Amino acid sequence: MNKFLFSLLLGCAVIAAQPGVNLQAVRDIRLQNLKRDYTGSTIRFIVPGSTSVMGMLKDVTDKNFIISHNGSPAVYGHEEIDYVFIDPGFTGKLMAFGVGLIGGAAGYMGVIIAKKNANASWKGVTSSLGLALGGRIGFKTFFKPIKIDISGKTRE
Amino acid sequence: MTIAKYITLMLFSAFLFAQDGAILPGQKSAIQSLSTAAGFSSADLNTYLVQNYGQTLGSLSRTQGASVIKEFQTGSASKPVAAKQEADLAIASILEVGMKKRFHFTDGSVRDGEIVSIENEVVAIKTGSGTFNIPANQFLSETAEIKNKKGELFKGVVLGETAEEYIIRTSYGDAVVQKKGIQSMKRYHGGILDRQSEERRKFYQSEAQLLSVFMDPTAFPLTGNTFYLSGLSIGYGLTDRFMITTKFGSDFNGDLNLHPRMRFYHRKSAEKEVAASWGLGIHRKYPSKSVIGKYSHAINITDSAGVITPLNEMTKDKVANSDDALTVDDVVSTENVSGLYAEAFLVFSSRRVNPTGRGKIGWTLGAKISNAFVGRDDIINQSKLTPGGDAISWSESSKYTVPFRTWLSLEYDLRKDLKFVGSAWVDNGYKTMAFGDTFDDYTDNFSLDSPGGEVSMIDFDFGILYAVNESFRIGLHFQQPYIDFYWEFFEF
Repeated sequence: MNKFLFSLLLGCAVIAAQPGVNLQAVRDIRLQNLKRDYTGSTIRFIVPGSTSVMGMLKDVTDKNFIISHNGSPAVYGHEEIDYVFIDPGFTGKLMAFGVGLIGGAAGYMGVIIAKKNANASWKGVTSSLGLALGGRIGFKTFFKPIKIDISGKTRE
Repeated sequence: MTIAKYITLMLFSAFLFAQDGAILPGQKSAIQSLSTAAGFSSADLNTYLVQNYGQTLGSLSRTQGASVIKEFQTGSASKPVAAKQEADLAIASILEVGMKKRFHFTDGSVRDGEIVSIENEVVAIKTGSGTFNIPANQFLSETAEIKNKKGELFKGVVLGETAEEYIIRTSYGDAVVQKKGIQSMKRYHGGILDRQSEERRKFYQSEAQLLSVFMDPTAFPLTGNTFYLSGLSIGYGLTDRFMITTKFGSDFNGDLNLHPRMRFYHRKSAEKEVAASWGLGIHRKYPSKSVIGKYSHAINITDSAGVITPLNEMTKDKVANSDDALTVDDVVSTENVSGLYAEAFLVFSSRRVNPTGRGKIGWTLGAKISNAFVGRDDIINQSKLTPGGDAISWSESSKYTVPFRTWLSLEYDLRKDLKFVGSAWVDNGYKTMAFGDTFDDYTDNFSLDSPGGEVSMIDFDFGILYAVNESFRIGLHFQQPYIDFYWEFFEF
């Protein structure tokens, strides 16, 4: 294990020689955090060649991601990957829909208070507008991928 | 208002603003005695205070004074080796190509930039004002002492800072410290504590993390093991996702109540945090008078001529003949004076880093309903005519079918300790009240349930919230309750 770590540190020296402060220790910590927080979650990343890979994260080793595609594991080297994305799932859609529903309710309540004897058309229009506006805000807020930095870079 | 009320208000204000005033004379003499006993000369003490607090003894705050006393009492205050001269300022030990941050120099200047090359001990730094070649020995070291919420202490050179974390090179390796987990931090440039410039110019988030905007909750509950106390309620964060509060004014009047809040959805990245929560409120003996008071504008008084007037228009100050005036007591049923009350809300919140890099901005959208109108006919005395011979009934208008409130609130960090907050709402039970009436209502039973005020079912409010110190917050705004204040004690 010690030999392995020594080899890894030698590898770090090469990375650290690149422009920018790129620390393997920082990258290791971020990889550990990724493993701790997102094992079992569906992640997405771009491998060299601009190919997007998506699958359930099973494990993170010093050099590789182990990803499950439809139940079968696949190994991808992460040395050249700086960012991992967590795409929003069905719950993200539900949250966006929930925001839309509150927007619609606010529109309906607003019109029955503001307009005496509001007819069905008024109620329908304001509810729909509230729903659409709330839904739009909800999707922009709750339906966005999370970008996780796993690089060793220490600058913004 | 009476003179007694003004005096109470002034005493209360003085109490609030006394939370972190200037150091007390007793604290000063205690510090001087303790420092002398610890072998400090006056110059040593002064140096120690400037290095650690950025202030001289007379300029310390009360909280800082208490902290210094504690340090001397626990023996953690160590005597400074010698007063630092400019020539002795610590020089940066680590400079690497690609470092991009705010650099401090021995001549006192500060530059934002990126190191593009280092040759023969001369560092080329690219800034927005041009590229400068500066000798490496002119760069001040940037070190930090960071204590996280677990009690771990990190000391070392600041290698970098992102929106979410600090990277510190300690004696035993590099540490990545999450800003979210930081309890306290001291930052040094050239070995001297920097308290002013950087913190004020740039901050990640303000000290106050809002649980609610005015009276409306956000989707972010109290963090675990945190105690909360405000003018209306007390609460506790049982976990990071679940908290409970109770309105103590009602509790003391026999109306035991609990208000749990659960965050059921949470996503957080370096720049953004979103959450959704639900909450409940359950009162075992909620006074019928409170329901009638809140919805007095939905109760119709029909006189013998068939003229309908809402109850809130029948108060003493609004009717010509005071004999015709009605109070809540005239309307409430003598049999059903209280009942089980429940409310539920759903709320969504988002916070993100302000694109300017200073603090955060956020919004909250929520909706709340209650069972206040279930059996509402039973809480008014329909059978009995009022002294004026009028009949009492609830309005049949569709806007009074269900008690509801929806709100959209905003927060914006102005400074690390100051936040702008605003809110707009649609609420079929809202009435706007003058400050004096609000004060009377609050001092009556430590709750806000007055029947008075003008109906204003679509309305907005805005104000500021100031973090006096780590645990105490005070807010001012333009609608009831006008003043907000609360304490949060972490790991109570």
